Amino acid sequence: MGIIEDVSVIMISSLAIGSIYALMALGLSMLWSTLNLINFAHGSLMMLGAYIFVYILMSTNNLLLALLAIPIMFLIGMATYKTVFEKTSRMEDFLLRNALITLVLGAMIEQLINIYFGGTYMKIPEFVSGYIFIGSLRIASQYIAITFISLGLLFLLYLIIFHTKYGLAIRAVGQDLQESLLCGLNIRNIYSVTVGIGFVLASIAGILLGSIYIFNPVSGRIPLLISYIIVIFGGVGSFMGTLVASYIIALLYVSSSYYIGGSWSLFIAYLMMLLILTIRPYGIFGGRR
Amino acid sequence: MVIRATIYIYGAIMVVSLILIPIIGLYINQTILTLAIISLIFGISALSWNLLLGYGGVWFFGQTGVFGLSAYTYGLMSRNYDPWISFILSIVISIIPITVISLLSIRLKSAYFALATFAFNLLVSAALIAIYPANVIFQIPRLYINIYSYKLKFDEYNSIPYYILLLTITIIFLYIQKKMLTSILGIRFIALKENEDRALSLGIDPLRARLPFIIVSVIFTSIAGSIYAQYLGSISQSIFGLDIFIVFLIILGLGGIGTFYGPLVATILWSFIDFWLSLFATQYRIIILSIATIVVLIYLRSGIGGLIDLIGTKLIGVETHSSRRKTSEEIHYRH
Repeated sequence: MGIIEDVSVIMISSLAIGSIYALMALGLSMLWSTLNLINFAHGSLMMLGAYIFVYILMSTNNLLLALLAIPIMFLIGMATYKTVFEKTSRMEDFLLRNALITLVLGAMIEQLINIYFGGTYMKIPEFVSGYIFIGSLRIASQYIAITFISLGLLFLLYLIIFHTKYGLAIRAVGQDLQESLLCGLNIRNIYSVTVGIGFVLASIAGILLGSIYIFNPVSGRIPLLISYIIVIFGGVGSFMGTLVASYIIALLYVSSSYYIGGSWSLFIAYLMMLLILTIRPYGIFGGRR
Repeated sequence: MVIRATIYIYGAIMVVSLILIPIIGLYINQTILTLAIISLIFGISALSWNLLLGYGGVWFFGQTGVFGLSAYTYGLMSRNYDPWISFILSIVISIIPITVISLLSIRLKSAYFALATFAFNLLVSAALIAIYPANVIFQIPRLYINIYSYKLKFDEYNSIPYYILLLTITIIFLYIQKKMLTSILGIRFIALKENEDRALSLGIDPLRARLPFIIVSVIFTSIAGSIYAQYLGSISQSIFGLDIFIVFLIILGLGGIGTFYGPLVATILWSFIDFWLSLFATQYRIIILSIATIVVLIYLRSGIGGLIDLIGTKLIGVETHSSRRKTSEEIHYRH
């Protein structure tokens, strides 16, 4: 293969994977900036969404019914907020406590998936099959479909956050809690919906990633790490920063695994994170938090 | 102080267990001794994590990386070198990379430092799997002592030498922790947690205040990791997974973050509950323990350690005021 084919393959797959990571990282970033929640369970939640999707799809063989996984994850998110994070929010060391709780929660979800679905590898069937030919180049239409689906979802998320009253409220709570309380915002309601949205974004990312790669209960760990690298790189709470960073990191990840080898790509992403942390700890677009 | 009120209870438990567990292990039931050794290995790791997380508010999440790196280094080095030399080398080697990463990222805010050190776990596992691709290291030799012409291997007498070694290390750790926390070093360390802006404005350097504690914590974790490899005799790549990290977390969460003896009590409790659950509910034991940990983290803020402190002070009737308030008063006084 020539250099042009190489580059275009890398570009196309990093566009698809970058969009998926953007969905995941935006969920993380939202939880971090709004609730001050460092969610280590995001990878497991991603897998939970994918497994619920696969389970409904296998038992009913209906794609539309399988999309019920998304509202289910939203409800799980709201329930988790009500039962766990609302209780800890009044403690003085709630940041650390929440982080530890999400770590334990992540392990618990992994084990639950392991018990009910088994630890074997699974794959979500492709939404669209076949290939598209551009010249001598063969592109799986799945990648293109995923890119368009996730770009559409990102646009929807942008509209929700920046062009609705609810999105305004979510951003306001993230910026200044006291002022939002004074304005009469229902903080608990906003928090629970934010957690729900975060969980939904994780599960959508899981479903999309699960239709490209095979997965098992623990395969959410590396995406979790990569999306945290993205969040730090782009700056916490910055929508555009996270979006740009996810494509940069995805390009780096895909090209390094294409040229050097899959086991080294994580190293490079990690070194990039350490570099960013030492030079500009608040990300390329983020403000000081 | 709380510590003085409850030290009698813990002291009594310690002395009784010191005498009782080896006797039970030698003559009645070996399982008790095995559980005691395993619980002390995890207990030392959890205690040294508690020193950073609980007392210093340093979000150090690289504990499994250090633990696994030390275990793996011992496993690989002891093939060619003497067990004692590889024991010491495994500790030295496993503290170098995490110290470098801490130096680079120690000035960061808590969550950023947590992510930098959390990613270290995965990095170590990727590097070691690249160096040594086989899944399991078998036949790891154990330590020995030459007493005149007699060579005492540590796995003789149902591994009682390991039990004594681990108990000694635990006591040394608790002593060092107490000395460090009550010195000016410890006051700076705690001040950074309690009020970071104020501490910084008083001229406390985060690097100089936190680095000694990180190094002490990492040294004891790597000792525990190395002994873990020796005691089990074989280790697999799964040592780097989230599972051991979750065990540390369960012990710390149940024991109480920032309590002096809490993790030690919780680790004994954990090892027995875990063993008991593994007899008839193998799959569910992580779930049950996780739920218990979450409940304790939410409703019982200072865990079992805090509960015992409370009972101890009620029983002995010493006036309590939390160690936290005392230290901030001392800071005010000394500066």
